[in-house]
Amino acid sequence: MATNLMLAATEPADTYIRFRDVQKSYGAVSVLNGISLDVAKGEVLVLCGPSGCGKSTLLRCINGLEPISSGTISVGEHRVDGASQDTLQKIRLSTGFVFQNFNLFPHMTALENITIAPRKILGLPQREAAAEGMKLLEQVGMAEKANVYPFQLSGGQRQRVAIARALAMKPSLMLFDEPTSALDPEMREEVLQVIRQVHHEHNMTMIVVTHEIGFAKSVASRAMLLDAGRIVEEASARVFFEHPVEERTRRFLRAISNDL
Amino acid sequence: MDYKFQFGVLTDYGPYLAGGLWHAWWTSLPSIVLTTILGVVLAAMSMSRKWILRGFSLVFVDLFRTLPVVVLLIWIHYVMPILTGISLSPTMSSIIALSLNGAALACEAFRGGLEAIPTTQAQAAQSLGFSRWQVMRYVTLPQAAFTTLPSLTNVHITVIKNVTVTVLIAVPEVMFRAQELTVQFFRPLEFYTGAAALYVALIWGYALFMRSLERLQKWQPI
Ligand SMILES: Nc1ncnc2c1ncn2[C@@H]1O[C@H](COP(=O)(O)OP(=O)(O)O)[C@@H](O)[C@H]1O
Ligand SMILES: [Mg+2]
Repeated sequence: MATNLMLAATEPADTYIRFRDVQKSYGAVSVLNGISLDVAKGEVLVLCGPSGCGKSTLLRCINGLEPISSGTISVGEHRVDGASQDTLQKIRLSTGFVFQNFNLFPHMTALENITIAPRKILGLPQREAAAEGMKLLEQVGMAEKANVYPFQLSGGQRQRVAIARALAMKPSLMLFDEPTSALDPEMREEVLQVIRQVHHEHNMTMIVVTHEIGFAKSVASRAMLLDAGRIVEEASARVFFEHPVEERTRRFLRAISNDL
Repeated sequence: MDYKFQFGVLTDYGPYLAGGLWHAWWTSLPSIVLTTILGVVLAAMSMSRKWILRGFSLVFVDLFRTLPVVVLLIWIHYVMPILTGISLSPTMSSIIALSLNGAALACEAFRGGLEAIPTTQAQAAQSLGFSRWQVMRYVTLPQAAFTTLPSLTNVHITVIKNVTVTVLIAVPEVMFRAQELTVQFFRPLEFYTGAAALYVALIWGYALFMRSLERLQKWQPI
């Protein structure tokens, strides 16, 4: 508690996520090597980096899906490292997570996927939850698929439902882990459009792991390159994508634009 | 082979023999229900973070999977009363013995089903704010219930087959009556063949019922 107060006194008031010298290893394999990072409220941070560099791990440390080995992470007024199950649950309630492989619940319809958490966690009555769920499905353009099971949906449709599912808990932070990289190219834009819209309508704090440069430039306030668990370069989105300082960043950006 | 078939005795005593099915079924059904409930609870316990729950589940499953049902049945019916002073009706003793044995098998079936659910499902649910218990209740168990159904059917069939050992403590089910009639009329072939046919019909009917449950699944794994 005392440390929290001290941090609060020395840091800008609108910092929402704070990493301090975060290390994370799986056994002998070190995945995050001293990450320090601040994300302000309302900011959109784009996270890039080669496969295996630790992007997913970084996101998963924010909502406590992975415990860290040393350092500190705080989200809002909560400390994530060493948090009790109760605190972790509070952090997760205000943090939406969108996965690369959607991870919809296959035994529930699109609408049920969206209403289950508000009903069972927040205690929202069935009718209210369904009404709000339908509104969200409309927002992501999936209203006519409300009663369809995930196996009957395309990848892009699944991801849009997954985004609606996260939004149903009215989070103040959204974490997107390569939301379009499991999708066929023609389905990517429909998902990116939904993310842009979420950004504009809710002015929500977001961290997006993506290699979609066009999208990143249009929504990100800041961008960052992660390599081997270290932050290589961190800059405003414009500087990062147009005039990167580090040779490593230039090489990376060249490589991903050649892929497209 | 100069045995003369006289299935005629079955016209007279078939109804009495078939009446044993009523007892077989009312020993099976509670055992199947208890087997399933206990099996789910034990499987959930085996995935708990509390070592005491995991340990209990492990010991339970190992004990009742290895104990022969006949030994378990005789022990519950004849030995337990000596130790505790509580004596149970033959049907009650049978239900307990069959359920303990069945629960160990059902636990393994459910655990296999739960372990087959990708861990990303639990991660997605946890990320929404579900507690570990809620993840199990709403996400992993309902999915596992469907994937486990075929192996659960096998466990249930084993439980029904085990009902025949209750002949040892005189539950008046089909085998007991076949034995009774055979002693009286010296027609083992007719009566035991009749008993076989009745059990096959019961189990076959039950398997058909369970198969029809499998068709209720409207979703598919992705
Ligand atoms: N549960 C785990 N156990 C062991 N190693 C892991 C685990 N999860 C990830 N890793 C390793 O950590 C590194 C970073 O993984 P990840 O964060 O998924 O990378 P990225 O998302 O950038 O592709 C990889 O080398 C990966 O093999
Ligand atoms: Mg990843």
